[in-house]
Amino acid sequence: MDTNLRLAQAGNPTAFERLLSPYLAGLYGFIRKRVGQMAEDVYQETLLAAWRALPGFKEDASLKTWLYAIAGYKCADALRRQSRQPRQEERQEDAAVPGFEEDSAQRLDVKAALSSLDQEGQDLLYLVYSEGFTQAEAARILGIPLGTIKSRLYHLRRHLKDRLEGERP
Amino acid sequence: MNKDQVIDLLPQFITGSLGPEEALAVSRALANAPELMADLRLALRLHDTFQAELTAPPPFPQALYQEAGQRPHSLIPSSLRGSIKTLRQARGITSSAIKMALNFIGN
Repeated sequence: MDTNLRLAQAGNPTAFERLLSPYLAGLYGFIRKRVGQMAEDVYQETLLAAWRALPGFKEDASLKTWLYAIAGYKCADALRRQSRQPRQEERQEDAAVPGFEEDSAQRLDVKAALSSLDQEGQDLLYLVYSEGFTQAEAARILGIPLGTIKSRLYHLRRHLKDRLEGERP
Repeated sequence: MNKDQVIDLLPQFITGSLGPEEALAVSRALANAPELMADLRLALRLHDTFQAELTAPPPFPQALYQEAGQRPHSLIPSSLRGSIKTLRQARGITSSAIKMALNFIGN
């Protein structure tokens, strides 16, 4: 068993931080993509929830998938809470997230193509193409059946290739 | 390995999360099927765009350390802790040298 995992499960928070450190930038990117300006709070809630649930974590599962699945639940919770907030706060959440100021023309093309997709499609592409999750893992994180994930990915790829390269598979 | 399987494995291929045997099989399939290059280009462009959006995550929650009953982390980044220790040691050496010099002058 991984030493950091064993120590973290025994209640050592430094070992827990070391254990998760390779995943934190990608995890924060995933949360930011899903919940925008609520990301910092949801990120903290996710790590606290993971810490509390860690004693029950079984090593035969992937720690990264487990962590992202918790983040998926926390994002869904935050979005539900947000939908009950007054309209003014909703507009604040819709404000642009910084980080694209120095994009190349190619990235801007991809971003424009991505923005034509619904949020679930963008989340799925992020998990698979940025974080390298398998389709089965992405299905678990997003809480969507594997067959739906396969079909969605097929259509998303075709749509993006049409937009970016004018090609058909 | 058929073309659909290769396309499905491209994200793990470019993120380096495939095992060596699968990675080799995907490389060979790409070399033998130029029509898959459009899928590889798309995978690389998506990966590059998403990675460019990543920002440094917020600090690890201190509440977690408090919950564990431990003292929260130092606010000084670990990369600077060594430098600060060196500076403190240097300050100690300098003050000792000044004291010795003053004693010498005084004598």
